Amino acid sequence: MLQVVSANRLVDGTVVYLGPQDHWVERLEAAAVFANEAECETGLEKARAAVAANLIVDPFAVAVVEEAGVRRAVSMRDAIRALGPSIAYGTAERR
Amino acid sequence: MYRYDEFDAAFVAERVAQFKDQVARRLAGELTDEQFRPLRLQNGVYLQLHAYMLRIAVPYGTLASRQMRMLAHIARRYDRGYGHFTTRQNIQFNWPALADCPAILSELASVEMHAIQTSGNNIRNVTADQFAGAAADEIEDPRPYCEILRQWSSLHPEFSFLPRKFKIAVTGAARDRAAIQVHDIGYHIVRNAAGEIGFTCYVGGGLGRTPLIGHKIRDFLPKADLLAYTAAVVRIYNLEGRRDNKFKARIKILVHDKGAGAIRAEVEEEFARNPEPAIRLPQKEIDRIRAYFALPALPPRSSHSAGFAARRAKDPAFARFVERNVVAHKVEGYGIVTVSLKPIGGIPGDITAEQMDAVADLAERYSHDEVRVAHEQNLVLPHVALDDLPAVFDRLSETGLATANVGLVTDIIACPGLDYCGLATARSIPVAQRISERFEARSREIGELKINISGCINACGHHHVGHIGILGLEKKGVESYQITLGGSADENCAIGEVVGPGFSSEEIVDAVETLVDTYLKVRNGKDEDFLAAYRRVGMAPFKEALYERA
Repeated sequence: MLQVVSANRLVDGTVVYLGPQDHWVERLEAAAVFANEAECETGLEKARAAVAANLIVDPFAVAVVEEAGVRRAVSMRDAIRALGPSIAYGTAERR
Repeated sequence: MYRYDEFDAAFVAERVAQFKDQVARRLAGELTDEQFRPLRLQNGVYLQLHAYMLRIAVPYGTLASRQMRMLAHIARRYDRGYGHFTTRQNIQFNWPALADCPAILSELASVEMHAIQTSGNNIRNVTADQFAGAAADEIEDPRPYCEILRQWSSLHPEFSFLPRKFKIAVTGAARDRAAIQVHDIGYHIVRNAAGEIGFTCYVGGGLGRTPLIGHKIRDFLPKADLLAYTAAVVRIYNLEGRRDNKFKARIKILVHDKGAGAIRAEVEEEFARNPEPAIRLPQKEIDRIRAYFALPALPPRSSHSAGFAARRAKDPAFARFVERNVVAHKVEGYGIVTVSLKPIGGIPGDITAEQMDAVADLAERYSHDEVRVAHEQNLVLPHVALDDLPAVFDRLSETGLATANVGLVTDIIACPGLDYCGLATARSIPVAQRISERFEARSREIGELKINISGCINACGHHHVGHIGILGLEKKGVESYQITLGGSADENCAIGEVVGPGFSSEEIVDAVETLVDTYLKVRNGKDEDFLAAYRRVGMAPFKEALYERA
């Protein structure tokens, strides 16, 4: 199954993904995709280096699928993590 | 209400300075994540699904207007314009940057607030009846004793690394509004045969994956012995509680495994040993703390307010609000107003910065500067003159805070669930929203009914003690909701029974409606509420109605 590497940015906690140029990007669509779990290990290795460099925390592999050109996380937890809360919140909720 | 003395102010300021340094060292790479994690947790900073989360203590659920305004300011300046009141009377912000947390804590310290011991294996925020000090049915205000416990337990060197977290609740009325029997220690203020006031002590209650009701281990504890007895309980737990298995580490497991009788004997022996005579409370010290919580000067008023009565007679919306959201105050001519944070279709416990400011203004003008947080995730204006109720209602209406549903089926307790929480296995909030919308039109016909929803087995939504409890789980990658019936958090505390196999997200609201319709069929008139009817007829008709469709 396709994999991407995700984490939270240390300074503000924002959900980030390892991008193709080894930068950390905020959109799942912009993440580097690995063909399987074995290949994803290289991405996780880069993530561990980013942890050591105090850029991110708690990296892990996220299973994704691509259907009709749209990428989405397989699990509901990772999908909510990618898209944000499934409910309108704050002032948006009160509109 | 309590005001910091020089010791409190210095202690909180020192902690802010420490954490500022710790965050700087973490961001500079001088501390690893492993080294830093316990430090941030000790200051209420979690890392959740989308971002950091900051949990701020609201001791025994009492806030002054300036503190509520500060929370509004923090919401606007450092977060996304809103906050979330929790089932432990605290407030959480869901989006703070780690780099901003020291500044937030510094701003909180300026209004005598902090986030100390809102996480970690220590004695957490001591909770109380949200009507404390105002309730007509109260023996004595529990908050002075909560404050005494707070001062004693803050950074207590012996009790800062317990086997697991430790939660204490205190209530001062016969009606338990603080859910004391599902706490590690629950203290119930009582009067003994001699007319003296003291505490009945319950130990070993809790929810989570092993829900258990606390055992009464002391019928009457003199006030002077509050700290010594609490220390004895916590010391026995600290020495004997399991540290090898996080899921079996709470005191409830120790009490369950050893038996309440054995624990009682050990606690009494430790208490009799009296290793710390200095923590016996002198009456002078009790009186000093009680003075902070003295009832405000409430000018005498007639129990009949002409303006209030006239508005009630002509305005059905106001009449409904009074019926559901206002209860008797201990002083004639006043009422206790619950401000529902459960708008129909809204997120339980959420409040915008603008609404926080509005509540602060109302408290300042009409409630002697006091706001309370209820563990049901609502707010309370504890001292409102009946003459002022129309004005309060009008302002609440303007700000979307006048939902007249306290205690009804739409007054739902729900944890943040999978929309925010890193531990959750299913969403809670959307289920609460859909149930609220489904029942809005007939909620008054249904009457008192508490629905509690948790998004995982940790039970932050207290589902075990909901009349209808809903537990969100994940089964093969899909949300599944298990229903329990018959739970109750009051003085007749009960853990709900699982009714049967779970329901999908699409099915769960229909399932709740089936339960409600069944109740309406079996009840002996409107005076028999859901829980009473369930206790009379049992599980069978509800189970049959739920599963006959299958």
